[in-house]
Amino acid sequence: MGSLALFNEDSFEDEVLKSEVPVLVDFWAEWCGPCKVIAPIIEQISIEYEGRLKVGKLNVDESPQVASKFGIRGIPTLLLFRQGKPVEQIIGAVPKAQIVAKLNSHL
Amino acid sequence: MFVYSKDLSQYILNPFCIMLDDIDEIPEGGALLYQGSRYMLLPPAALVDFQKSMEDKLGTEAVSQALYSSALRQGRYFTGKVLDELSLEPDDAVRYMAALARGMGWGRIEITSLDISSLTLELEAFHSAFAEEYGKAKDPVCSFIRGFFAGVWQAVTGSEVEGLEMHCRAVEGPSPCIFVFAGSADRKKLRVSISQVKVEED
Repeated sequence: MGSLALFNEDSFEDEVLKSEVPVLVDFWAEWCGPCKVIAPIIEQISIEYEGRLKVGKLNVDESPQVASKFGIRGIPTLLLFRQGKPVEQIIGAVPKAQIVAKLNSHL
Repeated sequence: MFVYSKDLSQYILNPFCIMLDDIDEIPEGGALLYQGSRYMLLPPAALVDFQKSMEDKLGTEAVSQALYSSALRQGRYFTGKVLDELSLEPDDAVRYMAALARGMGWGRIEITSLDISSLTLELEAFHSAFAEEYGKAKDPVCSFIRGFFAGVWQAVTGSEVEGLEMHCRAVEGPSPCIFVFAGSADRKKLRVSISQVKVEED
């Protein structure tokens, strides 16, 4: 079991924007098919990058204001935050290798 | 929970009979269950009368939006369950939901075009229960079907989509109702003909 976090509107600022380590946020929803495809990959990444990267999920239906603030129009969308700012965006159910390559370029 | 385990092609060919097999009444009576969810049989006249009553009070556009939004959430929710529990490919999930709509008597929904990469889906609804019950109308009236399949398409693609009813039996007379669904980002650029979606050049 990795250290996959669950973010929401209340926790987002403290756990993501003020985090000292980079944070990968998976914007998702229960009804979203492509989100189900990518979910196991996110779980794997949370295990493989433990200690170097915080990984978590944010349900766009439960936290619409956060999703709106970052212009999320399709899900899954992965946003990588460093020092409170989004530095990478990955949209859709893309292969793990593509996600890892983009993450590694920032870590 | 979905307990569907029959062959998809058989389901699509004859959804009503297969659904009937799966409908149960709770032991003490008074509630019908289909795949674990409660259902009730309701004539379209009841829904359409409600729709017209609301239109008298709120206007057709407001009621259309309300029906669309609520149906979209339903379409999204049920498609999410189907994708989760039946492990269908995205296009099969759309076919399954079209068969489900047919089995419930909303109309015979035919997929005329489906392209996930361009986020476009086109459907025809033959014998739309909403259009046939409504009678003559100035504007398309199948907002529930339109919203439901916008939700289906949103769940399959993960993207915000918009649905348009391009042709409604209640407006145009005897013919199938035609629906086009596309990404919200393209909404203003959509130039739609009956059989194809064209995205205008900037």
